[in-house]
Amino acid sequence: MIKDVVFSTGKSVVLAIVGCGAITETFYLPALSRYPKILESLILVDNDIKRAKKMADCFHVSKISTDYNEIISSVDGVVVAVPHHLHYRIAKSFLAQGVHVLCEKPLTETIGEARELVSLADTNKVTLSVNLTRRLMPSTEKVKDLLSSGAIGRVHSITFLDGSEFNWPTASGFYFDYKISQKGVLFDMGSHVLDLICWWLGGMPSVIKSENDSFGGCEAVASLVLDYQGVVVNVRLSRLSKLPNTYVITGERGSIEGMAYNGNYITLKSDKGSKTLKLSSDQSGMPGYALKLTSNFIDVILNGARPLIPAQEALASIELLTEAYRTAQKFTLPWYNVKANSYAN
Amino acid sequence: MQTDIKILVTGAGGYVGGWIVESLYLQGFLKVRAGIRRWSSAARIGRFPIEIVLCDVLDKHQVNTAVEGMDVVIHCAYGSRDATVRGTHNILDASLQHKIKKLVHLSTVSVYGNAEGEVDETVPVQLTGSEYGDSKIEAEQLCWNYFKKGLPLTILRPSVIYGPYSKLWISKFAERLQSGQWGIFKGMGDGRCNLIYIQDLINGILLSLDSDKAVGQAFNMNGSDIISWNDYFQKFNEALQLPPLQIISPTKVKGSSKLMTPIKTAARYVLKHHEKIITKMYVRSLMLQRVMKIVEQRMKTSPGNEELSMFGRKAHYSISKAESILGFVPAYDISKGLAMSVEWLKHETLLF
Repeated sequence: MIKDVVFSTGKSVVLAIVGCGAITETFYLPALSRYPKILESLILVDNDIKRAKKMADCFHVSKISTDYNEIISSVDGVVVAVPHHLHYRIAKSFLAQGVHVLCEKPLTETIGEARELVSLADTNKVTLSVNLTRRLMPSTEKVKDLLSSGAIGRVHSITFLDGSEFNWPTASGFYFDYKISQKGVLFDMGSHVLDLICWWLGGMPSVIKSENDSFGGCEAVASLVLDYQGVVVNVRLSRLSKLPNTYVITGERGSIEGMAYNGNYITLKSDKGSKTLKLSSDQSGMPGYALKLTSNFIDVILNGARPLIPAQEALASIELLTEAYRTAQKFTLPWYNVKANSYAN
Repeated sequence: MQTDIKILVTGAGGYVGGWIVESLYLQGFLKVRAGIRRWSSAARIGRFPIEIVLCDVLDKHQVNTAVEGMDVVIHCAYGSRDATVRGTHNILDASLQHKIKKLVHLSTVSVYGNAEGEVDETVPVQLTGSEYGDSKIEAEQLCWNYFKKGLPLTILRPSVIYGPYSKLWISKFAERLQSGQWGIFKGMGDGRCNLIYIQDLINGILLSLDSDKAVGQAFNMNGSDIISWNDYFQKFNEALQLPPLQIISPTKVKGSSKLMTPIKTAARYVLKHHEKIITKMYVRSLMLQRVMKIVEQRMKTSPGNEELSMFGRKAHYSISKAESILGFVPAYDISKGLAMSVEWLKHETLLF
């Protein structure tokens, strides 16, 4: 365990978390609370001083700041957990001064920005990694292994249905500010789903059809048809209704079925029958994934370990997201055919 | 009415408030401000390039900020008794203070309680002990008090509001009908099903905003069809192109309702007090997932006692007053309204 590594070498690291929103409160701080020495030197940064103070009080952190620029030279690593559109600017500032960065997903809004950050990290010999939590699920790792070992033969199709009513306890509401960004469910949940698809397939599919329900704001439902060397991929994402939250991968010799939010099982089907695999893991659920990710980040800084999800590996899905938005069309939504400007004049 | 007026819609994170905001925007009212209680309810209206603000009606500061600078307020927010009564009081107070030119308060035909027959606006409101109906009566009373103080307002009393995005009257019933467990309730579903399609209600709101004669008045808002609840189930079933509905005997309905009522109460209690442990067990046990799905399905497809009482109530809410004063004419009959709703269900992939 990383806990032993931190203390046995006698070294420690100074971390900062920039952004004290819901993800910091529910994911990063509970995980880092397992390491008192890290908490002792941790710096919480938020331009809302009240919010930073509240988080500091809740998790017994003594250092807070309202300006990340002031603390860059004091830290070894930073967790960037701010609204999406700020990732690029803040991550760039830290990387430029030789600080390791663990960034929330999606890494950046455009593929150009993502490539620039990856290159900057290389130049300055620091790591840049991304929190794509679903890669840490035992189930998604198992799917990767099964596909790599040819367990179901050549893959024919992937169907990924992921949706539930939006209930993320966002503190700032940035998700729905069209003046900041018009990107919605595809950018938010889609960054996870498209990353898994690119990871499993080993490359970036092309976009055949991209539809969503944006009227100039942030889309709440999106649908994609993709193609990767003959593999047909269907993706449906929703912030409005509960979808089955499953994925099905069919191949020439069987299929793999999994649950989007339950990483403990997958079902393998073939001509011989159906088998549900209970996947052994000591990490279960979000607290486990948070611990895995933050422990790895500390290990990366202290001992030069490999990041669990290097930013380089997220580039394919960011490029795919960029393309899906560029080609997107609006769904046909006949119930909105109300007479425009009927009250004008 | 000019489309450049500034309109605040409270409760915009909900079904009706959300629809009002969207429809206003699509009709050219680009200066609509959507008031929501929490950001997590903004996913639907967030699709439109409109101003969204926090407006928890119990928070006087938020209410004051949201109302400031507006010409008109459409008040849809409701909830617990406190949210409905004190929340409405806060909205009325801020509206008077900021000299709002017109306020439309969305009430409900539930204020008539158990009244039966032809119910028009002359029928007195009636307390029944139901939190929803009784608190709406209190909220209406506050409206009249503020009208006397000089706030120009209109009260609208809609019947069952249905259409796309309605969980209560569309997706829930679609699930029930598709389950094969739902049917025609012999002798128990013959009460009047008073339905108004959401877009018709929005037209009623716009008409009342546009009419000086509407000030200080209450209007029923209802659709044009006069059908029973059993008719509704049948028409919805046909729109979904499902096999004909079974006839369910009163004994079976009552038995099922009696059986499921304590189970529903127990389930609510367990979920409320032990949600974390249940979720943990649910994630780890496939068996528990299967059992919970069966119980959940059974609970959803059994009508509760309150529902059964509604399915039998023989009241029709007259819209004669709205027709004559506002020129209100519902444009969506049940077939058209259900057709739109089914299109939405298909889009949301809520059909099995």
